[in-house]
Parts: sequence; C-alpha cells; structure tokens
Amino acid sequence: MEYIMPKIQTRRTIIKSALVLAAMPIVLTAHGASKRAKQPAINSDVRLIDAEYVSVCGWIIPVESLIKGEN
Amino acid sequence: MIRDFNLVKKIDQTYDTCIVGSGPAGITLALKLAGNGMKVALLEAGGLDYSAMSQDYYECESVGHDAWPEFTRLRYFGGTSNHWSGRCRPFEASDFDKRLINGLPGWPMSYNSIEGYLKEAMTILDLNVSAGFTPINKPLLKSNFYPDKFAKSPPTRFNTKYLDVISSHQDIDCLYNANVVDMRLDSSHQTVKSMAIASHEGNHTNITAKDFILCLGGIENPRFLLNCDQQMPGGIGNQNGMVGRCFMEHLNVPIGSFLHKDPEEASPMQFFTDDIFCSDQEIGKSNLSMSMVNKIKSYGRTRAIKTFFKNIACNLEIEEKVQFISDFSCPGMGTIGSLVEQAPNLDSRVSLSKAKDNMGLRRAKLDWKIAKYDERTIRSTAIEMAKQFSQADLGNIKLADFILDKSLPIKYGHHAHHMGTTRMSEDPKYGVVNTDCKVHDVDNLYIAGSSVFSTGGACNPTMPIVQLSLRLADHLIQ
Repeated sequence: MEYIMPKIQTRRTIIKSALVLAAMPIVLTAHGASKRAKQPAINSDVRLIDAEYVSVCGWIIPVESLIKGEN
Repeated sequence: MIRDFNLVKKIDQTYDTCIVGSGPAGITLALKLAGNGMKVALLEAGGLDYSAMSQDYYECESVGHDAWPEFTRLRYFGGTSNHWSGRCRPFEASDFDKRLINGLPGWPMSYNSIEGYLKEAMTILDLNVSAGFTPINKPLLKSNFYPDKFAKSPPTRFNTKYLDVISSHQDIDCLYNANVVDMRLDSSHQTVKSMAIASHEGNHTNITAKDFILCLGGIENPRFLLNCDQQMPGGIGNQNGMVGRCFMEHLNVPIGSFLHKDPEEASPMQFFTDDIFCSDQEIGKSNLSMSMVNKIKSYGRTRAIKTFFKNIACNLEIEEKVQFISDFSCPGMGTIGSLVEQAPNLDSRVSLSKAKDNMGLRRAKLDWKIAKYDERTIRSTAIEMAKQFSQADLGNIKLADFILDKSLPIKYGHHAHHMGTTRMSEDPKYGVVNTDCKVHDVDNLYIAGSSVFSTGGACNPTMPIVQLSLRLADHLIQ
C-alpha cells in the first residue's frame, strides 16, 4: 500500500497538537504546585460584603453558595 | 463664505454675532443664527485640516490626574467632532434636580429647557429620530440598574458635513487661521467691544459685533477668559474666581471582569444606575459597559483538542498559563468598563501656566482632582452591580482589587469629556454664566459647550452641547 505523506500544513498541525499535549502535564503540575503554595493566601482573601454576599479573591458570590461549596 | 485669515487684508463690517470656535457648538450656532438672517463671523484658530503647528497650542501643564488634554482635542475646522466616537445619550430630568453636590448647586434650569431641542440635535448628529434611543440588552430583574439607552451617530464629522455648507452661506463669514488673542471691553467693563485676532503669519485685526460667543471647549474657554486680564485683573468673568474651577471628566474606571453563566447567550451589555439607588447612596450616576473578550478561536481538526484544554484550563483557573501553548479565551468571559459621573469640585481646575504659546497667551494648567464623593460612587456602584449580576443568576463578577480595598488607589481613566469650567449658576458666586449662557456681569458675552455644564450626568456630552447651542441661538434670535 502506498503511503502518502500529509501536507506540510497538516503535519504542522499534528506537531503543534502533540507539543500542546506533551506540555499539558507540565503546566498542570506546575499550577498545582503554585496553587498549593498559595493556598493560605487565597483563604485569607475573603471579605464580607454584607449579610448576603462575600468576596472570594475578588469574585462576588452569595454567602449561601459559599456555605454550600458552589462556585 | 470661508476665508484664510492669512490672506485677508481688511475687515470693515460689524457682525451681529462673533462666534469663536468651529466645533459642534460653534457651527450649530452659526447655522441657526445665519439661518435667521443674522450676519455671523465664525472664527477658527486652526486650518481646514489637522496640523501639528496648530495642535501645539493645546499643549498644557498637567499636574493632577492626567486627562491627556493634548490628544483628546483637535484644533481645526470641525474641532473635536473630527475624532469623536459618536455615542449619544440624552440627559435625564433628574440631572436637573435642584440639589447641592459637594456644597455646589446643580443646574439652575429644568430639563424641559433643552428637551425641546432633542430632535433637532439628533438630526444635526445624523441620528434616526424615529428610532430614538434603544438598549442593547435585557433588564436585570428587581435591579438598581436598567439597560442603558443610547444611539450611535455615524459619527458626524462637522468638518466633512458642514465645510461646503458654511463656504456657500452668504451670511456666515468664516475665517480660519484666526487666533483670538484678546477681548476688549468698553470703559464700563460690562460690554465686549471687539475680539482681537491674529494669524500665525503676523496678520491681525479686531472683529466687532453686537454679541460674542466663546465655543472653545472645556479647557480653552476658561484659558482664554483668564488670559484676557489687561482690563480685568484675574480675567474676564472671573470676579468670583470661578473661571476654570470645577473641571469635570467622566471617570473611566476598569471595574473588573465577569464570567457569564451561559457562554452561548453571553453578549455585550450596558447598564445605568437608577435615580433611587443614587439618591439613597448619595452618589453620582454611572454607565457600566460589559464587553465580551474574544471567544475561543479554533478551527478544523484542532478544535476538539483546544476545547478540551479550554475546559480544563477554565475550570482550574490556569487559562493564562495554557494560553501560552493554545490561544483561547474562556467562553463567557468579559470585562466591565464604566462612565461615571464626577461631581463638581472647586479644587479640580484649569488655571494658567507660566509657559506661553506662540501668540503670547499663557498655556493652560490642568489640575484634575477627584473627590471622596467620586470614589464612593465608583465603589458603591461596582459592588452593587456585582451583587445583582449574581442575584440575577447571570454569572459572577470579579471586582478589581481597588474596588474592595480602599487603601489601594483607584485606576482612573478619562473619556475626553471636559466639562464644568465656566459652569452655569444663577448665583455668580457659584458659576460663570447665567441660565441664558451669558457671562455674569458682561452684557453681550456668551459661552457655549460643555464648559457650561453645572453637572455632567453620565451621558456623552456632544448631543447636550448641540441642544444647549440651539437653545442659546433661540435666545439670541428672540
């Protein structure tokens, strides 16, 4: 059976996708490490806006959903 | 007709009205007055097109927050209309409520005084009168914000639209390259006798008229009045030290970002604070614009892979890191900009620098100051919007650090709306012009443009400038 080489464009796409796939675990690992290191800081960035809303890292969310563990 | 003042040898006629400045206010006034049979001199300091030499006169000393006065204005026929964006939104009746803000009175007239000129102004700005002003999004239920209504001018460039009209008008004598360098009063100091003009090439003369109108913009109107200090120490119209004070901008503050719950339904939104909320909180009005960042860009065979990464990255909040290897934006993500009313503030002002321009006039010194009142407007409005966006179950808003942390400085930007520096007030103690836009204590000197705004609301000023100019023209015709 004759083997047909993919077009250059297609080969580039495959190579780029492979690189992306290969890099993903590194990024995720690095992020996990940094996230663990930053954990105390994140916990401290909670502000009570009023009786119904809090700010968590700047995101304004209902107190109720924070208690339920949503968002 | 239109003439280059460099080539004019003699002007030996007295006009009914001399208008200084050919921006939206000046051209609107000239056409309406001349249309009613009045002989009008229309003076433009710049040429018929942009030139660096003319623009240099707008260089000024900036000592407060930077409003970029050198770049936000244009000094040639048509004025700053030659680069405005075209957004039009009318004032509201409540903008004219009798009230004290920062100890200063608001507008001394009612909204009815200019409402009648709305359709005429819309026609001048090439807006669809029958379509009116429409919102681009749905309302939030039970909210202190309503969808903002506005219209977009093409935008109208007064240079392109009116150059031929002015050129062929027999009752308008438009002189360009005609810089006003002084204003001469009679011996009583209550009437303007003439306007002294000079060209860059040394030509000079005096223009005489029954009435004079300054239409130079929010920085140049006070600058010129303050420079006219030969007969009146401190400048003309400045007996109470109010010329140049209360410089206002519309505050352009990046409030934060948002994540829409339903990315497929997400689209740009614009909200406006309602009167009850502003009154209860004792704050100014605001427009909040929510714009989408670009949606995921992926095509062909990589789409599935990128979508997979997108979901992981957005859920783990590592989108910035993954963006290095796969270019995308989280769907439903957007930013929130603002156009916030700044309250009049005596300390925010235009005064004169020691430096002089090529005509020998002292340059403007701009000290744009923002008060605690304005900080409260920004923070209260942003937090309330974030709460109500969540309450409406549209998604969540992430506020900028300086909104929640009062120890951090707010990041101020501007909208190139220069207002309030010759403000309107019945009492000369608190303003420069009366309700007819006439300078207090000078019988025949008027001011048009956003410098007469007592307060600025949260609407783009060009259309109200045109409305007020039409009203002033009617006053002079009567």
